[in-house]
Amino acid sequence: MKALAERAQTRPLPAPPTGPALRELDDSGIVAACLGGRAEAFQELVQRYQKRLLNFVYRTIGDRERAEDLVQEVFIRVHRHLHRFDQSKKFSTWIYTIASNLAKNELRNRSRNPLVLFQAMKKNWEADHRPLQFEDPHHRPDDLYRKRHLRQLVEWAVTQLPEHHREVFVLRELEGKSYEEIAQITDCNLGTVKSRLNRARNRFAQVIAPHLD
Amino acid sequence: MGCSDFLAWYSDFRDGLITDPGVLVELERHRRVCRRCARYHHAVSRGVDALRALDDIEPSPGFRRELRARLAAAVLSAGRNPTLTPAGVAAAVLVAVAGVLLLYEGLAARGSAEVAGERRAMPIVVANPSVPFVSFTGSDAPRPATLVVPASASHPGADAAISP
Repeated sequence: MKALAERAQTRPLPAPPTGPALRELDDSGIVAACLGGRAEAFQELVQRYQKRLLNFVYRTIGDRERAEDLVQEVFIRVHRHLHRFDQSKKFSTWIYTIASNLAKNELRNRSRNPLVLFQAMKKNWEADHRPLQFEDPHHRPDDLYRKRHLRQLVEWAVTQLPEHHREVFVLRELEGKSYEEIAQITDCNLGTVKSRLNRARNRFAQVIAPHLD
Repeated sequence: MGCSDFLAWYSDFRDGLITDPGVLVELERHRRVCRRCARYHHAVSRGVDALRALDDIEPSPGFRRELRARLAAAVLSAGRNPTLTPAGVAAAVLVAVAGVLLLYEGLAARGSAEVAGERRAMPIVVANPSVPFVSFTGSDAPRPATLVVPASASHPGADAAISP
């Protein structure tokens, strides 16, 4: 017994599972590494998707702080259910589906609870905490004003789209997803995706066209 | 091609999904000649370009730290008791309350049955009413003999007496 204990103490610890550098792997490789016990592989997934998901959720719900909470929730769910992920499918579609569902739940809760909606709106009214910086002196002030105005205008125009249309619009125009991917993420058929996208573009053009001339 | 056709085809046109060269030529031609549709196309294109040029928001400095803390808490709670979810706790509480109520109901029913068993026997109703026609004595108790002399007894041929 003693000899066994001594042998166990002297035996070297098993080496952590190693493989190719994580950054070189595609998503499915990272997922496989994650499921194979490489803890740092999950950090690589977070690194790859945190900014994309944050921008997607932020454009969908319009509240930055809440978007961060929801993106963290996305990663917690991915961590918890990764073993259930069908590896024959695209990982990005799966993770965007989770994010999309959480964003939809958030919007639904807001519509049911006016207080939450009010708090979200109030946050946007409050002072801008971005650091002050000098403007580029090479641009004329009226150009700068026009550009800034256009940015605010298009941001506002997106918020004016109905929830379902906005989601499809953001996925197509900002995330560059294909119609098939959007259909999977939003759990709609292709016809619905096309119809919603067409309506979203139409509405978007109606809102901004008068301000472009 | 009219404006309504142009708008109907527009999404596919913009996304480069139209494979029929004839339709493509028609759409291009309509866009050149129709001011309204040209304006529409310009608004979508310029608006989307402006949208894409917006600065992406970056995760806040504490994002990863908070995520690590939340993940650690999630892993810890899953390891401590995997079945201890809020829904599970609520279900367990409901089952326990239902059990207590059933137990209480059973005991109460048993108590009332015992009380009912202590009650006295129901009165015996006498078939041929006479005075007294209801007896509150038990069946074992000696019953008093009752002699009733009907009014007709004074007449000859009538019954002499009715005894219980």
